[in-house]
Amino acid sequence: MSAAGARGYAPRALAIPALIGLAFLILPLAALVARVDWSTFIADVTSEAARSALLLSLGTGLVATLLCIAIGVPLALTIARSGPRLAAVLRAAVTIPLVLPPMVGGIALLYLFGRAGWLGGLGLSFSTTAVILAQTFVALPFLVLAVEGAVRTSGVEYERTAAALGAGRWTILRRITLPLAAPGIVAGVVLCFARAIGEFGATALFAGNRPGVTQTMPLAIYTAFNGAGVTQGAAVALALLLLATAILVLLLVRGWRPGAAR
Amino acid sequence: MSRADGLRAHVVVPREHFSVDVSLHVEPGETVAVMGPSGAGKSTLLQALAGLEPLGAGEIAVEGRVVDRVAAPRVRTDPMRRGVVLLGQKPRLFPHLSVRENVAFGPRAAGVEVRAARAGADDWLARVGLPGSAERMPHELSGGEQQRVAVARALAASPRVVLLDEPLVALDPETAGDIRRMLRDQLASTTTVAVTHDAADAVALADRLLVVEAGRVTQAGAVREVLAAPASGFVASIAGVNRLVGVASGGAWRSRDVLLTSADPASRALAATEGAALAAVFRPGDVRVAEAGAESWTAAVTRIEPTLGGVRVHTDAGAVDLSLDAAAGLAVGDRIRLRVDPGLVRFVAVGVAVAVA
Repeated sequence: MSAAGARGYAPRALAIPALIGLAFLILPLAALVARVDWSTFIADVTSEAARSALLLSLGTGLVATLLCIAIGVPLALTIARSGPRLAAVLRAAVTIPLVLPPMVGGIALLYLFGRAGWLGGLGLSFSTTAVILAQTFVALPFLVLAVEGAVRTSGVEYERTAAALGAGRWTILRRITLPLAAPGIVAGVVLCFARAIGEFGATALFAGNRPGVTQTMPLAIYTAFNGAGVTQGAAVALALLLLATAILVLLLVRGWRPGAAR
Repeated sequence: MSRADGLRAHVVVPREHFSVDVSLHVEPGETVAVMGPSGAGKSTLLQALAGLEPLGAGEIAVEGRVVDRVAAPRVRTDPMRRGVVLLGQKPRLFPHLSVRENVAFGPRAAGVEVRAARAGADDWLARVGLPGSAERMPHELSGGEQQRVAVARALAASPRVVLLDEPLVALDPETAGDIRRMLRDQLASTTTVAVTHDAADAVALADRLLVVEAGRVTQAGAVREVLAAPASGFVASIAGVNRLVGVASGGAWRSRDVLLTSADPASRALAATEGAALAAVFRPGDVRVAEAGAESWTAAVTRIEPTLGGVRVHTDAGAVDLSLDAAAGLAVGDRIRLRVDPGLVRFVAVGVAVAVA
């Protein structure tokens, strides 16, 4: 058993690049906060455009995350319980959207769901549904890979034990497999939601930038930063609002661990 | 579904170098021990009985109901519907569930109402000697306590057949002894197959012993009878006896220049068949280092092994237990003269498996 926080024997000199790494992540955010114009901050973040963009982002991000759980957990289970060769192929397929620039993802979605696309008849492009689809497309791999790793690591021995005790497949899934993978599922959900509310490229191309319908926070920030109607100060304020919201949601999810294995 | 049938199985599973091909029949409530060298196919046998390993051929019936059959009409019952619980070396308690929820798992899966299942779990925990541990988590328990919970969890699922795969091997001797006693009490009326490599387990837990070597049953029968009449070197080694192979000659046992007689009537009867292959069985503790004389033989020392009581000197013709003083100065390659009292020697027929079940 390794005690939490045990020091180990990593070379002390690694502290220097580690500090540089930390600074690289924190300093830009500090610079952002420093640019906030506090005199107009309240007005900026409570403006109609900001509120509707925030609500749209949270709503679509939430729905996309639920969608990712509904289809991603079964996909992760399938990959985790496949033979090594099939698992490698499936994992590669899931990873593709991850390495694709989101813009390309947006174009691909357009060719599938757009008016001239294979599924154009559904009329989904440039709607709120399109926002959710774009977010799901880019966020799903994060959830699948995290959950797949957790399920594969916990192995099948506990499932076998449960089966020998007479538990059916659904009981085993509900009482053994999912609780044992809970840390991986929580991590996957966090990554998935963070990626969904930060989604920009695919949304812009596939869903557009209509305030109140498809203009999520990242699109609103981009629009504001380009000076279309509002000031750069508004963009900074919106960015800060998105940042605060994301941190809050992450903290909530981290605190919620149903029956997690310790 | 007659309970009168217990477990009846013919298990054939192909392996890399040989195939496991074992028939066994366990009476209801009976415990049959399975012993054999490492890699003989014992665990494969249990995995197949539990439904975790597909059969290459054969059939498994639990209480008269076929749960696995390769020939038509093909049957393959899922592990969860066999009523067969496997208890292995590792307790494999579900780490995210309390001790009580672990034990209540089987009954709850079978549809027992939550409150009743938990009450039943508490009863089982008392029976395995862990009252008051229900609220604890598995990682808070010692290895022995975890194994007790695993036993309670297995039996709480009211299995038709319990399979034990060396459940005591990871425990210290004292704990193993406690749990062996507890298993004997709790499994008294349960149809059980127990794989072990400790003859003490077989003697304490089982009614009959099945010896499996290279995938085949080489000897079977009542535990003490098998251990007293080892049909192979493996059985002799687990029984801790010498087994020297020779032939019947003039009413005695002979191998090259060694001649042994037995005072045991059954042994003398076997030795009456002139030229029959015969094994002489006697305990290393009964062998004496002797002066030259009748029925003594010379043997070369091959290995000297320290034991709790002194040393066991292995030779090319049997092992002998000596005190430290008596063995002082002895070295590998030395020739010593050995002797054993005819009243302590038994003869066993060679090449005939004894009473295969």
